[in-house]
Amino acid sequence: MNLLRVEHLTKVYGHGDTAVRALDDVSFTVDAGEFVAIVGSSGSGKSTLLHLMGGVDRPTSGTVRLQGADIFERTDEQLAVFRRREVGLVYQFYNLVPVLDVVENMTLPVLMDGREPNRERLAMLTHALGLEGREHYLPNQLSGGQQQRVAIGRALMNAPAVVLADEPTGNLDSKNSADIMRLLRDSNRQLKQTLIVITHDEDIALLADRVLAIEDGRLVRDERRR
Amino acid sequence: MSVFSRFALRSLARNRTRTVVSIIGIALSCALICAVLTTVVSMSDMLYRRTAIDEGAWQVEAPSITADALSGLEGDARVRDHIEVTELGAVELGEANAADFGQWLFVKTWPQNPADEEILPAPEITSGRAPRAAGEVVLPHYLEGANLEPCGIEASGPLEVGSGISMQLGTRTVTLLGSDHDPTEQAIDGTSRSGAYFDEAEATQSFTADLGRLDLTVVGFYRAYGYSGTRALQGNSAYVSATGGEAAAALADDSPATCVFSLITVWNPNDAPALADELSHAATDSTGKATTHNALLRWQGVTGGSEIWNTLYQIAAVLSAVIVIAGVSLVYNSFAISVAERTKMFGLLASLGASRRQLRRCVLTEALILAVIGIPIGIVLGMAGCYAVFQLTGTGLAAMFDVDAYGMSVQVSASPAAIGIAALLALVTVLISAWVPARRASRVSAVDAIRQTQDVKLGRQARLRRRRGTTAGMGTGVRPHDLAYRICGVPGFIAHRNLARASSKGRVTVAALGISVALLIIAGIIGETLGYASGTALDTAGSIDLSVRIDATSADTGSGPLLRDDGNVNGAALQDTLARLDADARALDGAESMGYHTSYVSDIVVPTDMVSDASRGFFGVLLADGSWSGPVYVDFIDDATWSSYVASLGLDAAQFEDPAHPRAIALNEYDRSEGGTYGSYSPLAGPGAIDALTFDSKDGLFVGGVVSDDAGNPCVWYSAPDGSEQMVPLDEAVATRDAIEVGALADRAPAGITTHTSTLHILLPASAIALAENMGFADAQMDFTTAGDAAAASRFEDAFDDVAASFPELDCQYNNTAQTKQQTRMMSETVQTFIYCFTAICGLIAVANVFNTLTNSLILRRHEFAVLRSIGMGARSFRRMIAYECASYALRGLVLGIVLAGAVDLAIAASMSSSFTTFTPVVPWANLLAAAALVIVVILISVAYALQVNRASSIVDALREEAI
Repeated sequence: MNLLRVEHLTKVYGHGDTAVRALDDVSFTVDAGEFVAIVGSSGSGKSTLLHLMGGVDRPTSGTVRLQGADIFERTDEQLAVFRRREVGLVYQFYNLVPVLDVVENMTLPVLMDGREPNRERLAMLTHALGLEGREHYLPNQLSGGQQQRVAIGRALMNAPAVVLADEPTGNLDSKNSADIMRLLRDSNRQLKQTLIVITHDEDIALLADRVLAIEDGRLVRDERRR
Repeated sequence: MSVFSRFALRSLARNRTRTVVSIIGIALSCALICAVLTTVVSMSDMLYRRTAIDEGAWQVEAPSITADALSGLEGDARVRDHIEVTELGAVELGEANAADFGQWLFVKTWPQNPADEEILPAPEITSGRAPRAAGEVVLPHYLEGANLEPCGIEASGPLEVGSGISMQLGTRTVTLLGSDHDPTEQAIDGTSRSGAYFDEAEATQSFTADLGRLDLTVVGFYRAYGYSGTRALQGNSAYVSATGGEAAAALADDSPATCVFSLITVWNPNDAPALADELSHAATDSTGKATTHNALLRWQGVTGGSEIWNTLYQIAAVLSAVIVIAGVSLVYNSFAISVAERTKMFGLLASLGASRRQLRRCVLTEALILAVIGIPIGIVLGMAGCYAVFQLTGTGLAAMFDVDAYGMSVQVSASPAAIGIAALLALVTVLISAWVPARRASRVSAVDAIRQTQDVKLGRQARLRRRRGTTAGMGTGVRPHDLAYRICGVPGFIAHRNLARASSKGRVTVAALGISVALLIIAGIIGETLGYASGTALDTAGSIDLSVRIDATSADTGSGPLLRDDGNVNGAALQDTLARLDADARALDGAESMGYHTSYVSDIVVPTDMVSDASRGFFGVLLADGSWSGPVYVDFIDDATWSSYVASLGLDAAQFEDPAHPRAIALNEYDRSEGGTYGSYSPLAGPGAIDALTFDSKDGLFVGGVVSDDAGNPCVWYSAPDGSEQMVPLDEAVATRDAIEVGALADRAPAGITTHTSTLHILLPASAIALAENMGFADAQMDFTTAGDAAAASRFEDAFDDVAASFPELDCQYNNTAQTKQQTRMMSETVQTFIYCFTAICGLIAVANVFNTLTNSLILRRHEFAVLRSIGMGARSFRRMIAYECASYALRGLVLGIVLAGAVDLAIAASMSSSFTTFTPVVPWANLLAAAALVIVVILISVAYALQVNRASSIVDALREEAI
């Protein structure tokens, strides 16, 4: 069974003459444990797609089903719960909460769910992400690569159904980029974490099991690599 | 338009709410300053006009001006106008008339004012008219109908309007005889300036009839007060019409008995002192110094030295300062937030090569645009408000400035200077507010802005904790252990982190809230304090609206139906008559009787055990044994009023209403003012027996009261005007002794008896009037209430007077206290209206401040909120987080505001208690609660609005804003 099923997804911004069709009738499915890269040039609609899959935005038409359920049938409040339990988002600009330290940022989705963070998982992630000894640093005391690792930690902490990463290396140098991608691939391999990464970097796309290409809001290529 | 001006305009347009609130803040500040200044200018102007109408608009008076100085006035650009009063000489009324009419009459010209200005008001004509043509004269009112003994005025028959008279003018010479130390004689000019009356032992006066004779027709009489605010009209004068040339003639002759008084107005009041100085320098010893019209100049803002601090302008300055501070706190916040919000934009501009100067200008341009819109609105609002408040409080203002008596009207004076200053102060407010944020904008580092990490600066405690390797609540487990987390869960936990770690941003919010709360509370306190000050005058007369003072003795001298053979009032007979009058008065409609009482004065002795420890301030000197003796009032209250009074005090009717055993009640709560401060006294320690005494009379000696002699024994002190005195032991001097049993002390008096006195009151029922046998009658008083209606009281007075006409043995005088109270109330209401307007506008500024600060600080965190929502924070959790944060701000703001207000309150209380010894500072709970409630309501509205704005923007947009 498909973990994620995207059907006829369309998103239009604006009205009338100024309307922009950011996403135009996109359909595809993702299986559990897959590592999917979505590639496309700037403005192709890939970020819009990611936001829709993450339940951050609502589509003009079409559905996104995660584990069979249409996520947009949920109310905003239910959607918030969905975001903190079912998806992990990683952004190009990290988007950490500036007043919370590393551990607090990482455990935030769990805490918001009213659950006790899993200490073993936290220890495992801080170790794997190379953040040991920096647990109580605030975001502005960390380098860009470190901040992005915290963001990945936050996304993985809850063991979500799917991790969605939007240009996770877009703001990093090549060494940090390689580190981050290795971490993401390791999570996919070792934790069987379903992973969807948006990128315009073909080298990164090469790491993925499957590459979806988007142009002008349409899905133009779906290439399985292994 | 430069790119930076465009930036300014765009950012104003984009943050419409903040722009509007800022404009409202600027407009309110400007309106308030404009209103305060215009009110002060208008009040000054009313006082100026009143003084000008009363005393004349002259600003400088030069008595005995020299010919040179007079011609100098013509070419002086500072001088607006001047009029002259010429003294033509003296007329001798002679020894025979001196006792009745004074020895001299000075002949002067009648003041002729220019058409547009009354430089010197002419004396009041009591009959006839003012002199208009040559040969006409007006004389002092006391000469009307007078038959003068032969003197310098020749007339056939009594002086009347139309009488033809002939006056012999001459020179009076006054020779001062000098003192014992310096017996040099000194001759001075005999003009009216020297005065008309001299003690024969100090000066001799002689008269030379050398200034000719005037044949005149009396056309009227004027009211001669014997004094005047100007030297021109000083003295007893006969005024003739000026035909021109008198001044020149008086200056040309060498006579010391003629002189010219010049009264001058200047274009700029500030020139008056200098002009007076110059004229004084030009004056010779014999001409006298020029003076300025200080009573008038004070209202034109020209005062010497420290006097300035006694004028209305001081109040205006203080209020303006408060408003500027309030305005700065509002507008500053707005700019601080606006700049903080655009830190990245400024950093980016800096990275693109914008100079610090350009960035600073960008912010200052925004400020100027706001000022250009806000200030005109403020001035219009302020002036409109002024007109509205003056309209609203017109009658009160009229009463306050007594304008009706001067034929003036209450009006707003729109002064360009006041408006200009208001605009300038508002502009200064805006520029001060924008300056610091503008500097901050110019110092944004391009690197920081581009790095895009939001600044979180740890406080000292947080740094210390971090160094120890722990964070609060994270020490042992993974799950936070904060109190905030336990109470409010994650929302509380994040809120707590926000508050603790973004403290510098929070401080701005808390400070803004604190200042607003303080402003609200202080405004309330000021209102209440001033209300207290103006209210103390209000309740002196209680609910009495018409009081009738009744005397039995003045109707007849020495004998009458109510007088005894010894000439004193027959107490019982008076009481009977009053009872009948009261019954008749009660039958009248229109007012309700509040009873009546008769007051007697008696010397009494208060025994030692009845004198309270705190009595010294009230009684003054006690006798050697600690008892006190002196005159007191003994008031006999009509029986009905007495009964209800006894009942209202909770006393036993059987004990206090037994005619066979009269018991008195002593008033034991007195307020009185001494030299501007008010004090409260309770001179008696408890009930007891007192003695009412009269003393033997001794020929040629007056009783001075009971004193202790050197041995400490009580004596009666007799003294005579020639200084002789005699001490007689008390027991030997007492003629009569009546024991009065004081059964109770009371802290309040029945209607009509004042406690604002320093004389003890002993109250008795009318049925005990026999005790008044040996006391001196003061007066009787009957009181009525019309529920505060002055007109009804006035109508009732007429009706009562008709009834009183059938009581010829009584002499009634009326006092319409309702009218006085109404006037006091109107004045107090006027003052309060102004205070409330001030309070309300300060409150509005405070509210706008809270709203602006909170909404902006929330809207500013849009991105942060979007992050939280994107990782799954629900709307309810979000609201709880905000609620927690706002509660923290509100609490800290309230505490800060209350502390600030408390400090100001203490200062006010300190200054109040120096003038009101009975003023007890109370915690203004009502104000505190009102301020707290208002702040909380405003916080709720602000948060609701901010959340609404945040909700309207999608998470995606907010997240994308990250990249500017």
